[in-house]
Amino acid sequence: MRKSQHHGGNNAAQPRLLLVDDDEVNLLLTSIALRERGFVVTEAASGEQALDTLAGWQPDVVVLDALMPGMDGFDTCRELRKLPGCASLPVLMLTGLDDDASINHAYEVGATDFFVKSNQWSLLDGRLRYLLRSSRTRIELERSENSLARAQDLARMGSFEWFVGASAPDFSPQALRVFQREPDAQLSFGTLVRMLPKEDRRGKRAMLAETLETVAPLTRDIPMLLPDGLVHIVHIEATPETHESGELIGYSGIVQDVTDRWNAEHKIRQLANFDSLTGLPNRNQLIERTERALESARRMGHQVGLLLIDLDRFKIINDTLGHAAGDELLIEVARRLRSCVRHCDQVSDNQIDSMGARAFRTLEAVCRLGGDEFVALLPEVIEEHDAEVVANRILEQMRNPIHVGGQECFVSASVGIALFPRDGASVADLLRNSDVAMFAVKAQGRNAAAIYRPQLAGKGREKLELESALHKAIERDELVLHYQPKVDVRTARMVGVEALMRWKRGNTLVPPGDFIPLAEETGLIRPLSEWAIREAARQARVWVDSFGFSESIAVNLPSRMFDRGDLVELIHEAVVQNRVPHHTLLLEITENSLMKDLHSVIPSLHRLNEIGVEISIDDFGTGYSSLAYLTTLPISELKIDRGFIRDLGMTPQSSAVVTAIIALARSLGLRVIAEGVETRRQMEVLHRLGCSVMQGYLFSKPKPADEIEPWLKDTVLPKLTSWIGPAVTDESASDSTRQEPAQSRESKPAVSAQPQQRASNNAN
Amino acid sequence: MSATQNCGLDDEALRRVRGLDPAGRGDQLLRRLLCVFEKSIDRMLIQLEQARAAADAKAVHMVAHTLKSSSAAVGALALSRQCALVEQLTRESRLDEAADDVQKMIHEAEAAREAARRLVAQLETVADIA
Repeated sequence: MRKSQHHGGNNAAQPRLLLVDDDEVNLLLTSIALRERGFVVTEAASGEQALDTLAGWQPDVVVLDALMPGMDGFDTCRELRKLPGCASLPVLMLTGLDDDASINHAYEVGATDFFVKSNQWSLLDGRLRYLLRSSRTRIELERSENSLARAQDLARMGSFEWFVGASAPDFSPQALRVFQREPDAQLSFGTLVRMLPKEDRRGKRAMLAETLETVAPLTRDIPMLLPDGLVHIVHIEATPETHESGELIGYSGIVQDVTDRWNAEHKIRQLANFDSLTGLPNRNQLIERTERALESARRMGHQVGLLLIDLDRFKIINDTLGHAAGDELLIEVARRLRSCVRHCDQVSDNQIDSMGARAFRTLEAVCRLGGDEFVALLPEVIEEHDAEVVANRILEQMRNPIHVGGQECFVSASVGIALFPRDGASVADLLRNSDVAMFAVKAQGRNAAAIYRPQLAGKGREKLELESALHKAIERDELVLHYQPKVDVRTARMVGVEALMRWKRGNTLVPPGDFIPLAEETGLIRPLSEWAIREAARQARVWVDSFGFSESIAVNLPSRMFDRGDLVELIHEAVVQNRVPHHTLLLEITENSLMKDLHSVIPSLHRLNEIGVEISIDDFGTGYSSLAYLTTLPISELKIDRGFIRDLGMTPQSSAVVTAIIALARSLGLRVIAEGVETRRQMEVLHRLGCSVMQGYLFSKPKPADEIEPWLKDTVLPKLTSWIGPAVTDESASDSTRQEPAQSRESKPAVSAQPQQRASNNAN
Repeated sequence: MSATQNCGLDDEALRRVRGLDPAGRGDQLLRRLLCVFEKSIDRMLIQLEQARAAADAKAVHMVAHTLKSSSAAVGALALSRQCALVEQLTRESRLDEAADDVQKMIHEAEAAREAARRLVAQLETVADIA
């Protein structure tokens, strides 16, 4: 029964006990009895011996006989307490006397408890177990108090309590350390208030008075000037204690130095809410501020103005001077914009502060939306004109040149204005409509401001959406090339194809007319053209492999592609990569764009020509070609504008123009091709006039790449089409059209212009 | 066990001592304790003689106190009671008044020692037989 395990509760399975008794009989008996109950007993026959033992070893508990010859139990206990580590060692004083004097004496000398000697060992055992438990609890408590104190020190935290009527809170030593005071210092309310920055004192006093009056809990971060001469942020968290009646007894809580955390949070807020380049509030912050401004405006019934400011042609500056210069410019623009409004970096959110109900005015700011887009938020606008005044101030500020990267830059801006509530009830509506107004300014020539009008919405927005979708078209693989065959009706052969771009936007196929002009306007035409060149070369390879394609693919390029220094490399790379000859690619440039940018284009044309890439002049006849130039240009082909072909056989003028073009081409040794041929009649007239190479619906619509080979197989080779019959009979002309361009410059025309012109005239 | 079997020592007290060793070595423990008790009395009687000769009431008191509890432990109840009486009388240093009772305590101590000796011998016999 009396196994040590029986006495549960004790974690130290076998508590170590020092038994001190001068009487051998008792020493023996007690020691046996306690060993039997699970104690590890060390015996000492006198007080002196006990102290010797304790000097080198520490038991969990001491049992000390009170009356002993020599040094008695009381003296022993008093001495024992002075030994290191023995201050809180549990000591049970055994006494044969149960008189009050001995008991008091025992407590006086530091005994933990007393016990009247008896043979009831289980009672002694119980008492010892109790002592051990309470001792352990006490040790744990001390440890936990120590670690709390340490933790509070580490957290720069301390506790305090205050009772109604006291002139100073009672701070723990740790709390005093937060205030950088000695552990025994007194900190009265007066001293505490004097640690606040002067301008805060009145407000904080009021806040404190209100808290006390309403018996409210208190949670505040308070800036305080501490003895180290720095302002620290002290976090105070206190809860009231009340009588059952609700009457306030006092407060208890903690104080903590949260300066570091506060600084970190400030940094985070800064990063989250401010643009790192210009230091202006960012998009997040703008949205938050605008929402609050709208809230106030709803309550107080005024208007809010949102001015969207977009720099004109910023991209050009960025591209030509570099990003560093672009950034420098944005910083200066931000600085100027800031000066145009009552810009507040920090929003006041304290209604008790001096701003009071007008706190929304601190929302006014210029924010950077991103890129070269800024927004000015005017939280209180009385009439439309107020916003216009600010917009004009902004335009005025931009007039002075900005020095960046060692250069003077002239920057202008387009400003779109939207007013709450008239132009939108939400931040998103206002932003969108200011954007529409801004876009209208851009469309009308930039460098101005416009107020949103409902009729502005629509066209501009659609266009913008189209533009942003087009931006992604390449990466999303939405572009395809379709191919329209060029045929020589005389030989009934396909002599090449023209590549035409299509945009698969969702389920619809957008025709080039709907996006090419936009692409040209926005500069997207460059990546589009690059893609087309690579894709055409790739397709050529596919056809070479599948049916021995050896003709050319014509790719349309805008003139601005030709002033790129790397166009030649681009083409070279594309054909080499796909292992097709250079002449596989033929470039078409419209007569208009060629003539417009003639000087910048010519060098490229020569270099292209040198590597074997031929040039065709598209839409020929519509522009104002300088014939003098035409003779010197390294071009290979003229493509008669479809407008003349359409009227062919209907108006004599059109056949006159066509005849003239054919003659011109012939005399310059250029090939000539007609496009937009839709009827047999047009074909026959062209043929008669001496142009046998044609392109148009009569022969084939532009087709997806994989339909070209079947078309060749099914219609051209078996000579199954209506257009083949009459043309092939004219054997005399077939030779000259097959000749190389270089030769044809010298060669005589196979069909003279004269009879053809006549034939044409006859036909009309 | 009868009183004679325990040589006049208190049954209850001896039973309690024996009960301290549950492994069945109760007699062994008792024998050891009684031997310690005998020697303790030897020593106490010498101390007592010295104290009496020196008329040291405090020393007499201490002897009575010690003997009181050890004799109670082995069941020498008459000695324990006499010790208690002497302890009481000598607390206020009234050694003269206690002279008779001290003498009586010496007799009781000698008797208790004799009882302890006899019991030890008896237990050894039992142990030998066993």
